[in-house]
Amino acid sequence: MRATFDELYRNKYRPMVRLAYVLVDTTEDAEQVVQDAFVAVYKRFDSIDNPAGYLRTCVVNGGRKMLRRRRVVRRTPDAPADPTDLTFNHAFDAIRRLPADQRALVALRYEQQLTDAEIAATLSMPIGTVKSRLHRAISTLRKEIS
Amino acid sequence: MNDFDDIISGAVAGRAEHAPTNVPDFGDILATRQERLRRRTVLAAGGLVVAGLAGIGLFASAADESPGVAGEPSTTPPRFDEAPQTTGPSGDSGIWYCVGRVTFTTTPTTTVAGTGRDTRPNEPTTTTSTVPLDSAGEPVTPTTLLNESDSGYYEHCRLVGADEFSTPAPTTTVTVVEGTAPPMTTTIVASLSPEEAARLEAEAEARRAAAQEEARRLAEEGTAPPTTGGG
Repeated sequence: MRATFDELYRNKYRPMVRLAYVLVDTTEDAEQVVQDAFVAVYKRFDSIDNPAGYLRTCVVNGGRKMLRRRRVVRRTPDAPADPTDLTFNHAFDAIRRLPADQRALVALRYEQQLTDAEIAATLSMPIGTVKSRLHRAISTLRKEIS
Repeated sequence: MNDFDDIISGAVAGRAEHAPTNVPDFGDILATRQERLRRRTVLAAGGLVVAGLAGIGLFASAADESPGVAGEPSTTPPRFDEAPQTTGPSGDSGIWYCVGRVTFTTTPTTTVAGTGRDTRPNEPTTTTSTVPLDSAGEPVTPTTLLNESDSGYYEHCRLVGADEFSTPAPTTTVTVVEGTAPPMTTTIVASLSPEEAARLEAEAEARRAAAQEEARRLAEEGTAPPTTGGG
């Protein structure tokens, strides 16, 4: 049975904020991305088949867009996080420095625990591409972390 | 899941733990978005009204201005097509401003210091130059003779009279295709064929497209992986 928009909002808001937070780093940006995504879903709720999937795609696309905009503004790669920060994590710092597309793949796999097929549907790309890019991202992380 | 997967999962989960947990009322979110949209619409409409009024004001003032007379320069430049075509003594030096698309044709193609335009026969030749203004609003020093390759769209072009002489006297035809030019005290006359106008327009369009393409490329480069590790 199809959930109502209110149910979707109640059940998915926090998980989507977690996903967005992994993607864009800051609380404000994460909330903005998720709220924009929910507004987009709200407008088309009656006409979309899979609101949860649509929502997830909106969040990922919004996060990637925000990362792109942020990097264009800075015109320099993201600086490494401050290692003296209590929340600093070397592994996540390496994830932060991945390209936006690979970072989205890692977030969907490890935060949302999605399968390759689900990731492919979310990002509208072939499963083979998902596998190869994820493999490349993991290789990069392995090299960075070790 | 292997050990490395566990490390990544742990890192991501650890990060996600810091995500905000409050769930705002969706009605508030919608209201905020609608208010933002309304503000943007009002601002955009206001901008359009201001631009429209400014345009009407400019048009009206240009229409009211009578063509300038040699020796009595008008403070407000008339439209180019209303400017006098041939007046004043030869060899005069002055500054002309024009805003818009300008085309130059010079014969013979003789390189001189500065750039040439037509003066009357048997009179000292006054050269003029066209120079884009620099960021301080000052003309950049001209170095080449004006010719067709200099034609193009000038956002703010300044024709500067200079006391340069050249033999044979180069003849430069300057056409302000659109925009305005102030009173002119020597011959700066030409007509532009529709084909030429279309060609210039196409070139300007190509430049704009190239600039947009460049901006898009830079934006894409912004997502490229960092070239240095740092961690």
